[in-house]
Amino acid sequence: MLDRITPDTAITERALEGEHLDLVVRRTARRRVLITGDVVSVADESTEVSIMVRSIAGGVAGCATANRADRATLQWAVQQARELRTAGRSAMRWPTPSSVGPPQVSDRRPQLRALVDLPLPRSVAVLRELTSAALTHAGVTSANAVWDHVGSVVTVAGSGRVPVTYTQPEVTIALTVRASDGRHQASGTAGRTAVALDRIDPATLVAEAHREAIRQLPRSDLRQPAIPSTSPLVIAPRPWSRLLAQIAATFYTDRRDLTRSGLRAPSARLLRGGFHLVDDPTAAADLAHPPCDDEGTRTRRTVIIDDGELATLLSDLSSAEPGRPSTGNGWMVPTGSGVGHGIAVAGSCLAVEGASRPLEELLGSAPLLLYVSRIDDGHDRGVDAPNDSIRLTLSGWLVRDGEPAGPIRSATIGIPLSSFLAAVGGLSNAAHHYRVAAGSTHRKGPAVRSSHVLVHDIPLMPGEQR
Amino acid sequence: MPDLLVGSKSGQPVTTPAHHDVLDDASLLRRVFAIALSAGGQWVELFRERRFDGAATVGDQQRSLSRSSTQGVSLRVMGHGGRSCQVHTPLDDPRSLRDLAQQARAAFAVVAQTTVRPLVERVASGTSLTPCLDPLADYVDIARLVQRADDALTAARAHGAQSVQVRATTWARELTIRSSDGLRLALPEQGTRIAVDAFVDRSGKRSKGRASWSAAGSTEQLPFEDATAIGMKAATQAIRLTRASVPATADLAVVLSPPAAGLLVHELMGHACEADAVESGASLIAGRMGQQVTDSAVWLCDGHPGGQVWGAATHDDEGTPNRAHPMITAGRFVGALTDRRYAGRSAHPTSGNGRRQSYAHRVLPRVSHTEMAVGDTAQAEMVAGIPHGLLALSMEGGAINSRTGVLNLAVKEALMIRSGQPAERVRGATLTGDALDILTHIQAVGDDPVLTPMLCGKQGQWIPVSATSPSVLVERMRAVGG
Repeated sequence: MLDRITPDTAITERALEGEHLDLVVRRTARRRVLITGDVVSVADESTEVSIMVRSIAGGVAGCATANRADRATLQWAVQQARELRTAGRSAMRWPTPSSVGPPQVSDRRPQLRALVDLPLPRSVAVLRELTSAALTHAGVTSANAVWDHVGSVVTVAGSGRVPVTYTQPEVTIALTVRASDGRHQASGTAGRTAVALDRIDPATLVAEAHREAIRQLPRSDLRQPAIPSTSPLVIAPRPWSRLLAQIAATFYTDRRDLTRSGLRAPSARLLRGGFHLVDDPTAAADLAHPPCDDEGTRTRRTVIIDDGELATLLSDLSSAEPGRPSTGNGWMVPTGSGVGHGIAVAGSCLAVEGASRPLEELLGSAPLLLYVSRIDDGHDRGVDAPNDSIRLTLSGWLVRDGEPAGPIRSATIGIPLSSFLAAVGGLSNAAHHYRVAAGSTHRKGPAVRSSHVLVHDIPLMPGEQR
Repeated sequence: MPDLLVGSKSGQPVTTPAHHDVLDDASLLRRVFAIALSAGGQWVELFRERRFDGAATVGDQQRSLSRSSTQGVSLRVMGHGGRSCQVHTPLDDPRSLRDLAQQARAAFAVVAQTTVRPLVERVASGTSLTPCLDPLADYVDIARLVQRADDALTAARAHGAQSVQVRATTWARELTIRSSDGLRLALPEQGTRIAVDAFVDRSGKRSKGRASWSAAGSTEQLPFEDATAIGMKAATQAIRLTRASVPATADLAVVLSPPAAGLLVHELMGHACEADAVESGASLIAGRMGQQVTDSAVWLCDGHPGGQVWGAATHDDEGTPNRAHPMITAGRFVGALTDRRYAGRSAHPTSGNGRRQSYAHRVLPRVSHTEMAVGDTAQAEMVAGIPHGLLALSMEGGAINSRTGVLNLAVKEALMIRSGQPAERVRGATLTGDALDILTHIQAVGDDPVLTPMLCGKQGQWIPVSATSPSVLVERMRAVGG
């Protein structure tokens, strides 16, 4: 249905004198399937469109959003944005967006439905194969799998700029298994996000989910070791992706609760030498690379922490620091959130980079360490940058001399965030991609390129050892 | 199941303007329902949402205003055993509705493993795609919203805030529900909330105070006095927190003052009683219907208490009346919160708790307004009996992880308790522990109930909810400092 709509980007060329108009049109086809064992319990399909029009003049901006893209709606949005701009009295200096320069991408007018092109029965079949394979593993009592396929066609236009249209297909597959030893139950989860189904290896997902579930079960053949008061952690890629998204948010320019001191002091030493925190959509081999953000700024690799030292904050046009351009991280707030502000800073594809080693080397780097497979953080409240604090509840298993040595549930850490970052001391050579759900309604959730992360000598308070 | 705390106030109902409505076309609906059900579904529901938002972010050097118009239709087909499919579109013209019905039919055939032949519908030419953008716009007064945001900002500065950011939003929403079993319902809703973040810098560190106000009504419900009160409240909290320290990690007895207890009640007990968690076994009280799960002083119900209450309405998003429904009686688990899907396949009766963020989201069993009955222990009495503990004054939010059973609550501001007396102020702590352990260690319920409005997130859907709770004493929780 929405394939019939071609957004009229020419409205941005009808700006008033001294006015700049921005337009973002995002059309999305989505399929979500949930299967429990062999039974399809959910099969949802949708087509959506969201538009944002922003009017900027005299350093003041007004914004309107809607979920239609026909000519009348676009005209309404322009009128609303102008009216709200007139109502504003901002002292904020908006840069001229046209000075950024357009990305060199042609307007291809792709077909929306072609992005979610597999027939629904095929999606179901893939999930059935996944759960069937999981159920053949020893100890597994149930399995469910989710298919979330989102294909977007995004058009970004602005006065004086060539409109850009690009496609962004993304499929996420997640598998959860429950295992039992007859007395205890445990669960394990694995998932990946990729540009297409063939980039995700089902066998790897089954093995990961099964491994986590089995290792969460108590070992009758081993005497449970005591949790040391201080231990290295090896954090698995999936929980690390959520944690990294929170940590990176410390370095968004539009965080009003943070100053440029402490963790955000220029050139502050935050990681050990040789480690870097980057936002690099160009390096996400398994994900589509948007050529520009929702303000039309070219996306690029931004080194936030360079060789351990804070180098740059991520910004959009309105929050970029004086004398610095936007880093291309201005993304529309998800629609329907009711928070109104059209653009907010968010990472595009976050990663910690540095010398990497095989996972086995990380696990063997200490006689006893905690492998963290899950983190409870009060839904994105574990990283408390204003108080320079990180407070997490960790679950996983102990590793003695490189071998699993019994499950750990609810060990807690509460230390300065700066100390935690300074203790990051190793990366595995895995490179898994995840789309992290937005932790609140205020920002788009970033993608993360994640690996196992070794964190040295973290004080632990024991939770329950089963 | 995380939450953002917001402020409190009740509002007035909104009446929506009359307009020609395609959903009043009985023959079209019959055709749409027949197509959607032709793959074997039991019943089908058509849900339309029209929503208009106004929002303002006002700060020291910032003023960002926006309006948003959203409308769309979802079609949900339900079958045996809770099998369902849902399709949705922003377009609600007759052609789009018939397209949607065919899409639902095909999807349900996959769900039910039935075979259907493709349908070829004759579609009349000239189908309109004309938008209907503004029927609710008159109910969203963004100028007044901005004025109140300015009032709050001015008050915060006057009370010592060095920097202020105010986020304010107001919306009107009209839901129309039609179903194949004859339901015809129109539900108007309005909401307004305003949150003030006030910042004070001391010795290179920034303290943030937060206060908010929420109402199930328009900006008319927000007087100048309330706007200035939240500005002052945020500023004074920021100043207080400059003198607060981060506590050492310890296992402590915890007294939760009513706003903090509201979050505890919502996370620990409200979510635990939602039927999807109970049925899947993810709830900490799954399989314990009729059993003692907490202290006998705990009595809990959920539902619309009457009047205008943030997070609760007379009907849920499936059109079922949302009456007060008992969940815990004298510490015993007596009732789950259900939507039609779960009520239809379990022993639990329908409680009117089917809720969704928008037409583009699935219906889930969700709490609305949860109320813990008043106990007989004064907060001062709870504190007096604790040699070393924590008095939680305000929270930032929290979550319970149904897979690990771990509860996490982020404390915004608290006082240490020493020798039965409130002592030094602390900030930046997390209360955590095994949820079932915490539930069984509730020792006393206070006599000082307060309504706490919140925003609750579950499976990516954010909706308004609220909880009324008096102070609560928990014998032991871990307070994690940093």
